[in-house]
Amino acid sequence: MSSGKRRNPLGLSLPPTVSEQAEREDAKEEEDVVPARITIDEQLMRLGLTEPQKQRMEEWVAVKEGIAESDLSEDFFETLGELGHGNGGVVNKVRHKQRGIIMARKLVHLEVKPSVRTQILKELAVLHKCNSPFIVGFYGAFVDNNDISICMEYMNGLSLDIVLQRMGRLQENFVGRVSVAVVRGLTYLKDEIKILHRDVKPSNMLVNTAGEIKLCDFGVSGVLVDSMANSFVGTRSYMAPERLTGSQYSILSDIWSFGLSLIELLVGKYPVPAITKKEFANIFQVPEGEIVLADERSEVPTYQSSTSPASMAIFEMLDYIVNGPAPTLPRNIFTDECVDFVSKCLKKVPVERANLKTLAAHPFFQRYTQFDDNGEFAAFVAKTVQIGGGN
Amino acid sequence: MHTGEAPTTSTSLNIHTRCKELTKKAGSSSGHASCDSLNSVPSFETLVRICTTEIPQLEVEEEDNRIKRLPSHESVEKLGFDSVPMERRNMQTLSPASPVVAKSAPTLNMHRQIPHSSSMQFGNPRSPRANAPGRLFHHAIPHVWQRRSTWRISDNTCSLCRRPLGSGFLHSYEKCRSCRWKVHTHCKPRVGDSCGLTAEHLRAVLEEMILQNNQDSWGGPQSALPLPLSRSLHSGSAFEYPDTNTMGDSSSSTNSSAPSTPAMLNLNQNSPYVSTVPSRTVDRKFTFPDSVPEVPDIILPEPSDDRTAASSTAESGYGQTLGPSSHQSESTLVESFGSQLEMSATGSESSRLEHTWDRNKWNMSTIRGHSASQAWHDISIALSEIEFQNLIGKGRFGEVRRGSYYGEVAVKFLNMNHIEEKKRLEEFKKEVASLKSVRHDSIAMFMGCCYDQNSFGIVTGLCKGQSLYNILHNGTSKERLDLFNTVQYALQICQAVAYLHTKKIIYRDLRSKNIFIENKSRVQITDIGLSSMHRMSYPPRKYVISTPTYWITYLAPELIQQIASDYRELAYTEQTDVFSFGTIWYELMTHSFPWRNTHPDEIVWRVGNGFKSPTTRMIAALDVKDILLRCWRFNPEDRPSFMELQTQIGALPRKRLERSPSYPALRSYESVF
Repeated sequence: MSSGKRRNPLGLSLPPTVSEQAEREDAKEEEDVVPARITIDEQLMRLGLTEPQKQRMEEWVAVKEGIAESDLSEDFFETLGELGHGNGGVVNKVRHKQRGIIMARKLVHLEVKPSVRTQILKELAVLHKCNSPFIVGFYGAFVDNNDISICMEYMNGLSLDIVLQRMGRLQENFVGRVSVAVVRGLTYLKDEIKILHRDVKPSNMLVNTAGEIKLCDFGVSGVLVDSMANSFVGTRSYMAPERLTGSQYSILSDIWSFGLSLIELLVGKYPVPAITKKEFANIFQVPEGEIVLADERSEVPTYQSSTSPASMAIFEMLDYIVNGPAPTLPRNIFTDECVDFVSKCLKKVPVERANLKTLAAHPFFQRYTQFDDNGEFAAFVAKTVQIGGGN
Repeated sequence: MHTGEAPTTSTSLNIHTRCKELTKKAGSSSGHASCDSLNSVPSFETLVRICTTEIPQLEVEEEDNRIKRLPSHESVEKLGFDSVPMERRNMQTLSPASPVVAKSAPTLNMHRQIPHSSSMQFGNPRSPRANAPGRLFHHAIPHVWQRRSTWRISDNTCSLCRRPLGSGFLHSYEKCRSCRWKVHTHCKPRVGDSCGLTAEHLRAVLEEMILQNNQDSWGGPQSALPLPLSRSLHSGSAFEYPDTNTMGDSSSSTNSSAPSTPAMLNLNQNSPYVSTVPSRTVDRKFTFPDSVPEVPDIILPEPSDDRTAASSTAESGYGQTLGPSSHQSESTLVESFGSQLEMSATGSESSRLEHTWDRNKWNMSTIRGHSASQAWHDISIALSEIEFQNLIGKGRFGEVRRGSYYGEVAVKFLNMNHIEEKKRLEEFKKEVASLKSVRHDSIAMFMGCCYDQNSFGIVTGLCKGQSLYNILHNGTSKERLDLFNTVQYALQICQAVAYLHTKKIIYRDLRSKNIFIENKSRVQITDIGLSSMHRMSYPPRKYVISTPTYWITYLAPELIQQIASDYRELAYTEQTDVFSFGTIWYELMTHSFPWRNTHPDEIVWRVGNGFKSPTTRMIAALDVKDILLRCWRFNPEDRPSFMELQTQIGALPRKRLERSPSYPALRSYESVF
């Protein structure tokens, strides 16, 4: 604003923005300990959680309160190991020396102006408000040199993409549990926090040996996403076709990504280019003649890469997503509801796609809304942890 | 073997004897029966004439028709080399010829590169593509005759007929002002265009002949490299030749192909430039005539070099150094030739990468007068000689430290971790090879390389000032560049990159982070030709290629379409450099990057499909936008070259036009603003 104009002669004011709220919250954190608890309880009430979930949330809140913002700085952390690489950053398993809490710390190296950095931190503070059994917990974030550290709850089962690596593929009922968790998580983000995830994929779905499935790495800070976006090129894409062609982002694009992730979890292979009948037959040990593709296509043309048979260029893959047929599941290997659920997510035309409400009402979803599976999933996760040599 | 003859012995005698010895040796070591046909060596005069005249037929020398077509020649033909077509005569096609050396490859080189093989006693003409009569040799530099008369007794001999020049006291002869040949007036018409053709040349030619006839193991078409069909800067498509140097063992069949096979090209992307066949810059004391003479590039082994095939330029001397030096070289030649022949008999040796003679590669060894190892030595700086100071910057490909080496230097330590340890030095050398020849005011001066087991550094002059990236994106908005500065920087960048392109070096990594602005007026560009996908493959990441920031916005559509998870190298060309310049132009005009807030997947798909970044932020005049859109054209051939860009940018107005308002005003525009 140029100094020429008089400032706000009519005394108008805007509703407080997210960042301003966060500022106020930070300032008054000490006094607000008690009121904060109440709001969280309220939130939990609204979510309609089951008893065990509520219990866990309360435990979490207690732990989290133990850590003040100032406790988070580079020197208090002891690195225990590396959990993985993401776009733009590496995730380490760390232990907070003083409190003894084990966390996952994501380190993002960003060379940006200090003003941009502070803005990112402000936007990240929104994460404090995210309290859901389906969203990974957030301790805090801080800056050290050119690196931004985001401290999150440690999930010992790691991400579903590592689980896939170790186990090949997931059985349908596990995937059902995952679907319910993800849809609920996305609904929470959309309704309570009013953001879209923007990056749904198996490596952003974390699990632990308690059987919980949580989402992470969602685009809470637009500035952070933008700053990270220009230093990498992904070799796999879960982006919806309308996003690739330049349309606006909406929840439907997230649902496409979700559908694609489900196929990957069920089949064990990234489904672009489309999986041929032969490959399905191999994976499921079923004679080829029995494979019936969901969209009744007779045969999937085996994709001939124009450059080399070895690997598709990224561009070709994206072009296939935009112009090629949507991925599908074989009909007789999975239940009809499962196949239908997935194909509703993977409609190429966004308006035809299911939205979160429709998905929540779908029979496949309904089947898995009961949370209790006698610890089967938890045991499964524990097995993967063992295979990995214990995290 | 040294005959100990007096220096003034005629050269032809030397050649005769030498050749006889050589043939004997050749004959004995390779055991071919065919050597007897070469027992009589053509006379000097004959040789000269052969070399200088175009002889369609074999009617050459009656006395020499003993030298016949030999059966082994057929093997040459079978390999099906096409010599350069006629049109290519004027192109700079000659690179250092193979030394007359062990490898069969060089011999083949020699065939290839000499555009017109003379039917020099080799019966059937080799079949050049144009089906013209085969010619092995052509040397067409006319002498500059001047008539001289002296009144004294001198023992000059006519260079052609070898007889004393004058009779009695009066010597009247023709002397060439450039090569100092002296010939009888009546011999002059017989001389032909042989200025500069020294005895050494002819000797080498003879050895050639011997070798060809006696060689059995061809070692495969190692140097069967496709020649550029039409290589002009404007056609722009720059091929990278696989060359023996960079491909290691080159005798695999994949290295050879028919000349017109494009698939062959782009095989080796390591050398950061497109190799060409530049002419050897020989400093002659005269100017070439209009018809470019084809000077055969013969490399004579250096006297100092014992075993290995060293290279030296042949164009030394002007015919008068027939004395002691030639003796020396002769003797070493004989010795080395003998040993090398043995080596050749054992088969093609492709392991000595430093000395592979690839006509298409502008090798370090092609630098005049030096062997490859010496050339490398010239640019090597010991790590201890540099005093290292602070870290100036860290990028995707390495870190840069400031240093002190007879002044301020910047040393860029390259990441070589993507290559296994043993090969790192080799790769490093290849990457750096081309940098030495780059000399331009706007390009950071390359001073040398310093390396050891673990670090590989390139020493360049320190670029003062900030990077263009900092100025444009990190600076305060008050420092917005005005049009004058913008145009000035752009012009300098264009000039520098145009220079690189004439040297057939592709910049590859033209980004604002690699451009430094010194004192608001001087542009310096660095980090030429270092960008490679292979390098980006380290450290390895799952499902993601970690790139320098905003790297993808600089990539032309044809490159974006090639990015793949196996990190295959992208086919950089001159036109992709132009595209990158377009992005720099965008940055200059808008102080931001194209495709702002766009996910890389989206960028890849859209750019690959021909979309250009929206230019809504660019509020500029039509001609400014026009420059941008031309550089960003989808079809590479439609993009302008840097020379054209220079013209266009130069045509932009530098200052705001001074205009007065359209209504009558009491005060002029200038006085108000």
